[in-house]
Amino acid sequence: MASNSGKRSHIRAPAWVRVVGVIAALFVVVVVVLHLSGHGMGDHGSQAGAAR
Amino acid sequence: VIMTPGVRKFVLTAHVVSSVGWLGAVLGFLALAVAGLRTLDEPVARATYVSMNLLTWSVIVPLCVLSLGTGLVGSLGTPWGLVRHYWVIVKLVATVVSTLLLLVHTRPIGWMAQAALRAAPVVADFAKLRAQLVFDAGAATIVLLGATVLAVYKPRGLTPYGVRRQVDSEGSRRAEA
Repeated sequence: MASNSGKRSHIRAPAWVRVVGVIAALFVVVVVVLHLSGHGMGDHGSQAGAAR
Repeated sequence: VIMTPGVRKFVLTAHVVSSVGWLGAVLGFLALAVAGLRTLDEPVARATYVSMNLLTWSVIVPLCVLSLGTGLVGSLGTPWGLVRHYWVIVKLVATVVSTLLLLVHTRPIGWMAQAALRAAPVVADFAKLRAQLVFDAGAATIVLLGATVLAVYKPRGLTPYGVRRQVDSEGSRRAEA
């Protein structure tokens, strides 16, 4: 049992990976909120959209 | 396939030069984007966005592609591997996402450069997009700085696949002994 739990903790992602994951998720949330609220993140589909 | 030391050093040199050069070019782009956002002078704004388009296509995109290519070759051709260490995966994901976002944003940069060349009023017509280019360049700078820090510090952490490979290679080494 002891060796099993030791192996599992070795395989688990290190703390810094989880921190990077949380920062990346927060960044995505900020971008989505900015996009939905119309603050920045302009329309890339058309030149007219970009100019709006 | 493991590269010879000479080839490995050549690929590593190309990767370091292209990656750091990409970061430097993005910082130059950010400076131009801030200048373009702050100025109310149409000729200055037009010159800024034409320069940004030139910088994007002649420096940023080639260095970005070179950085991604040499990074893939360098990781696959050395014991680091592509999915054995978490830092390599995080750096790869950051580079791929940055490359995709860069390619998406070449279109609006091109539109602004075209408008500037037609002597259209870019300050008034592209207010939102000008602010967005500053945000994009700032975000790209942070991501590329993070990738550089990862490449230098190489934080510990093997993926489950990396652990299996390590156990396998230790087992075969013991068997040979």
